[in-house]
Parts: sequence; C-alpha cells; structure tokens
Amino acid sequence: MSFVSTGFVFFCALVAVAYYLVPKKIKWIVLLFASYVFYALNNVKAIIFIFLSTLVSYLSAVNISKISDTYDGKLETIEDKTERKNLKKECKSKKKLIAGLGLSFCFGILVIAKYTNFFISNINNFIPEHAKLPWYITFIGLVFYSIKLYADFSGGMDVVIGVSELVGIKLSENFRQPFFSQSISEFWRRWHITLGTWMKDYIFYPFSLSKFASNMGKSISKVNKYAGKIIPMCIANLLVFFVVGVWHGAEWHFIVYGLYNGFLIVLGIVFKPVSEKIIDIFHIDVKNKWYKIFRILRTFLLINIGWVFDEVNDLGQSLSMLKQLFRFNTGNLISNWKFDTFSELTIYTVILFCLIWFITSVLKEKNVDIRKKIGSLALPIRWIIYLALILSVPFFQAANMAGFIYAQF
Amino acid sequence: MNELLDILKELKPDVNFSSEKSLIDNAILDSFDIVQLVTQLKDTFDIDITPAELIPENFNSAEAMWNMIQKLQ
Repeated sequence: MSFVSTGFVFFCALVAVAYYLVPKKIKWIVLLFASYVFYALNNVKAIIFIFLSTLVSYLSAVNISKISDTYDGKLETIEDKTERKNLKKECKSKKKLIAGLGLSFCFGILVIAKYTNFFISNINNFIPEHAKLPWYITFIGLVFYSIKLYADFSGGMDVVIGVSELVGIKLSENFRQPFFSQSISEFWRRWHITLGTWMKDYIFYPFSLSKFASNMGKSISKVNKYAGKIIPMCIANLLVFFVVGVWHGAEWHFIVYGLYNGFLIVLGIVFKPVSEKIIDIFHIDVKNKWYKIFRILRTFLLINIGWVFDEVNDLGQSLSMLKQLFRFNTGNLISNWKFDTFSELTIYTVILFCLIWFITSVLKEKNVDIRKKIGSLALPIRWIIYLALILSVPFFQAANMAGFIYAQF
Repeated sequence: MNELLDILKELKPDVNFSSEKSLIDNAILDSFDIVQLVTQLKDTFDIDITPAELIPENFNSAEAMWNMIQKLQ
C-alpha cells in the first residue's frame, strides 16, 4: 500500500481510532496487528518472514531475561569471589549464545528475503537511453534523481513520523537538510541518519576501538605518527561504507557506490594536512559565507556523481554514464532525450515544489520551527493552510506517481 | 581534569571545552574525533572504554567525560 494512496489514509485513520478506543493494556496489540496487516497488504508472502523474525526475537529476549533471573538468584546465595566470577561468565556466555542464535536466524531471513531476489521490485530507470546524451543532460538527470530520491525518502519518512505521532510514538528524524552539507562525511550524518547512526554504533566504533585496530595504529605510529592515527579509522570507515553498499542490495554497483563515498571521506582525512596548508597559504577565511557555499556546491557535485553507481541496473551502466559525464560531448539533444515522458505541468510542479522545499529547508537551517509557526497562527488562517496542503496532494496527483523507492532496500 | 582538557585542546584547538555543553549534539566532535579522543583517553588514564560507553551523554562536555573516566577507573 503506497503512502500516498487514499487507502493508506483510511487505514491510518482506522488504526488510530482503534488505538484510542481499546484499553491501555492492549494498545500494543492493536499496533502489532496493524503492522502485520500493513505488510500483508503489500506482500502476503512477506508476512511469514516478518512473523518468524518477530517470534524468534521475542523468544530470544524471553530466554535471555530468564537466564538473567536464574543466575541472579544463584548469585545471591554464593559469597566466594572466584565462584561468583565464574558464574557471571557462564551467564554471559549463555546469553551471548541465545542472542547469537536469534541474530543468525534473523540475518538468515534477511539474506533469503533481500538478497535472493525474493521480492524484487522494479527499479525505476529514470534516465532513458543515456548512451548518447550530452554530458549536461546526464548531469541534470542525476540532479533530478537527487530530487526524486530525497523527496521520496524524506517525504516517505515524514509520513511515517506523522503517522507514528498519531499514536503517540515519537520517531527520530532521518534527514537534516542533507544537501546543505559541506563535506561527504557531513552528508552521511544528515542523510538517512538512522542508518548512519547504526553503522557508527555497530561497525565504526567497535572496529576502530578494537584491540586489533589499536595495535595496528600503534605499530604504524612507530613509522609515521599521523598515519598511525588515521589508518585504523580509514579502514573502519571503508568497512562501514562497504556494508552501506551491501545494505542497498547484493549488486556490485551498490558496493562500488558505498566504497565511492567511503574513499572520498578517506581522501578528505588523508589530505587534511595538505588542505589545511592551502587554507593557510591563501589566507582563506573558513568562516566566510562564500567558502561555505563553495564547500556545499562541491559536496553536492560529488554526491550527484556518486548516484551513477546507485540508480543503475549494473556496473557497466554506471561506467558508461561516467564516461558520458566526463567526455563533455555535446551530443544530439532533441533526438535522444525522451522529453515527452514528462508533461509541462509535471515540470512546473517539480520546479514549484523544489522552490517551496528550498525555502523551508533554509528556514529549518535557521532553526525556524515551521510547524510550530503555523500552529500558532489564528485558527481560520491555520486551517486554510492545512486544507490547502491536504488538497494539494490529490491536485498534484502525487498518488499516481511511483511507489516508495526506499521500500525496496 | 586538567590533563583531559589538555588532550581536548590538542584535538580541537579552536573549541572552548570548559564552557561547551553540547559537543556531540551540536556536532562539534564527530565520530573521527571521538575515536582519536577515546584512544588517547584509554592510554592516558589506563581505562577500557567500550563502544557501550560511547553515548552522547558521556561526551557532551568535558565534565561528562571526566565523570565517565572516574567511573571507569
């Protein structure tokens, strides 16, 4: 069920009503049931996987908590220090075993479901026949892909966040105006924030603070102090972006997409002393507005070039698009570009919404809470704005457009 | 505490660590800074900082870091 379908609006309304009607004790059952129904409406087969992973997670958690309780009881009766230590160790390893089994099962399901083309969905190929296009059209196509992906993903997340708030659940923000980032690493802290945080907590920190990494750092430090400091971090960073690539799907171009971002960040770290020197020599004021704008544009350019590894079907296509971009061929615009796939209205709508979007993003950057601002307006004005926004959805036929791209990841 | 402030000063000379209270929330320290910092704290104070300790509450201010170090010692 698409987030922008009428069905979804009714579904949410129904869930919210049911949620507030039932007693507090069983509210969670309503939400759990509604979640299953939502996924079942998308794909009935998927429900088996979701049900199994819920069951395994639940049983693992119950078992771990039981083990904790039993050992806590045993520990109370024992005074001897070494015996206590051994018992604690035993408890920990038992819990680890259960957690490990549960995780393996869930990851197994993920591998089956995600990486064996189980519910492969159509990848919407945005740029048609880019083989002979002039470079700037390819670039414009990539910029449009940015717009589409960002609108799709952050818009979809806004729907999810809003629906959750309807039943009193506050989800964390997933985007913070990513295209105003001044570096690739900053971009990844502002784009798909929950994924980045997960990668940081479960891959970056555990690896870069492991004994292995610190020993490696120490032995490299003997040769070169700066290298010893940065190499373990760079490896951890590449590892993160390799996993980011795999997370997108089991395709080579996704892995290259991850590593492209990872390598750009590594280059930034390796050449930091050089860039600091350049800033010093040319007396560049890093707090200058124009310098910041230069950095934002540079990051935007690199992110958009990176999409060639993301929005394609295979690596060959990525490479041909890259060639397209850097050959600076002016090509034959009219005969190759299928401009007629877009109506004029669509193009004006996109431009209009990008403008609104840009203005609201700038306001958000300046810490203006637009939602609060609208909420504090006089009632009639406030409701005129609400109704206009609600009616603009069917008016611009958002419901007829493609489904949520990110759902496939 | 002074030892900690020296380490922080060396890591980011342009930040006032004795007054700043949202080092993580305001993204003054990023994950690369944290790794460098933690590696140094481990060696200097002879403590074991695990990824479980790497939460914003422990790193938002020099004071919070100092409390964490004392707890781990």
